[in-house]
Amino acid sequence: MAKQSDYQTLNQELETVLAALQRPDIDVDEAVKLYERGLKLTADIEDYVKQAELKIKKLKLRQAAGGTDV
Amino acid sequence: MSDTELSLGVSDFVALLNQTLEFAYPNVTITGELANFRVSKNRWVYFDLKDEISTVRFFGTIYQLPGPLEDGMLLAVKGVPRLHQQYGFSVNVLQIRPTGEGSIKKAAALLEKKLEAEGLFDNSRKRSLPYPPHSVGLITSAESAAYRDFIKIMQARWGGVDITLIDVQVQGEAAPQQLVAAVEQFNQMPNPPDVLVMTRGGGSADDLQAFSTEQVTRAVSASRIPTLVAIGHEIDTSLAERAADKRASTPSNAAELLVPDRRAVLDGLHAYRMQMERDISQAFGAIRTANAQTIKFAGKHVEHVINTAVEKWSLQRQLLMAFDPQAALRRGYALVRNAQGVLLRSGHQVTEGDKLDIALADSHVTAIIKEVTIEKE
Repeated sequence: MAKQSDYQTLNQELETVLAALQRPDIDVDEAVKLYERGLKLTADIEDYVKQAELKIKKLKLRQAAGGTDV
Repeated sequence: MSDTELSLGVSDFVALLNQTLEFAYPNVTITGELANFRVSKNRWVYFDLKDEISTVRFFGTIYQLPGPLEDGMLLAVKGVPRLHQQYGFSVNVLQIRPTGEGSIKKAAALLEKKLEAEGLFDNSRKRSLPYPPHSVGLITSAESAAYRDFIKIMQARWGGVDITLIDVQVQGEAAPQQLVAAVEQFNQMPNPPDVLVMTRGGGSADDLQAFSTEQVTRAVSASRIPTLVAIGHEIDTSLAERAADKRASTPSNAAELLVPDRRAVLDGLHAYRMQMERDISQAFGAIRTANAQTIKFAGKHVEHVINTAVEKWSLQRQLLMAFDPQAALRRGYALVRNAQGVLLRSGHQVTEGDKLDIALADSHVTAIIKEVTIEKE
C-alpha cells in the first residue's frame, strides 16, 4: 500500500464515489468500477476507525496506570 | 633695670614695641565676652572681647571664624598682640573657639541654622547606602573602643567586607583637620570604597566638638562616597551626623545598619526554600487535577468523534450497497453486450444474426439474434 491516507481524505473520496454512483446517466462499467472503489474505501475507513479506537483505549489504560507522559 | 633713656621716632617705637610683644607673647589665648562683632567687605572681621572692667580689640579674617558668632558669646581667642601704625592696639586673630557650655551651644545652634538654610541636612540629598557594601572606608581612632566594636560586629554579622582604616584623632585641636583630610583622601582614591564610616564612642560635649565643626560637616556633606556617621552620645546629634547620608547611634549600631546578619539571612533563605517547595507542590497538584479533567473531557470528545465517523461510515456503506450491480442481476435484470463487448442499450445497435453475450447473476449465456423489432423511435 502507498502512503496511508487519513480519515478526511478517505471520506472525501467515498463521498465523491457515492455522488458519482447516483448520477442518472451513469454507465454500468463505470458504476462497477466506482462500486469496487467504494467497497475498498469503506474497508479502509473501517480499518482506520478501528485503529483509532484501539489507540484511544491504549492511551486510556496507560493514563489509568499512572503514566507520567501527560 | 638700666636708667638709660630711650628716645625714638613714632614708627621706630611702634616697630620696637611690636618686636617686644612678639617676643614676650608669641601667642596668647584671651577669654572674654564677644562685643561689637562686625564683618567688613565680606572678608575682614572686627570685634572686642571684654570682661567687667576691660575691653580688648581684635582683628582677623572670616576664614578664622569657627562658624557664625553673636555678641554676648564667651570666646577663647588665640592671637598675636600688635600695635598698628595708625589704628592703634589690637590682637591679630589666629584661632577662635567658643567656650563655656552656653556659648558652645549657642555657636553650635547658629552654625546649625546656617548649614540648615544652605540645605546640607535636606532629606532629598540623602543617598542610600549599598547593602551590603563590598568595601568600607573607616575614619576613626585605631586605639578606640569604637574601632574594635565596629570591626567585631562587622565580622560577627557578615564578614568578607574590605575595610580600610584612616587613623585620626577624634577629639582635640587636630581632630577636625584630620577628619576632613581623611574624607578627602578616601574620595581621591582611584578605587574608592563603597561607603565611608566616620565613628567614635560617646564623650562630653567638648569631646565630640570636632563632629559639629563647620569644616567636618561640610566635608561629610561634600563626600562623593555615601557616608554613615555614628557618634555615641545620648542627647544631641552632631552636625556631621545630620549631614551624613545615614546616621547610627553607636559604632556597633553602624555595623548593624551597614551589613545584614549572616544567620538571619540564612534563616530567611531556608524559609524561602520551604515556602517555594510548598508552592511548587501545590502548583503541581493543581496541574495534575486540571490535566485529569482535560483528559477525561478529551477522551469523551474523541469517543464521540469516532462514533460519529462510525455512524457515517455505516450510512455510506448502506448507500453503496444499493448500487451493487450484482443485486440487480439477482433480481432478474441482465447485461447484454455485442460480440465486441459493447453494452447494448438500443435495438439499433444490432441486426439479425449478431452474436450476443448475456450476463446473468450466476452465468454468461451466448445467443444469436433472430429478429429485431424497434418499438419506439
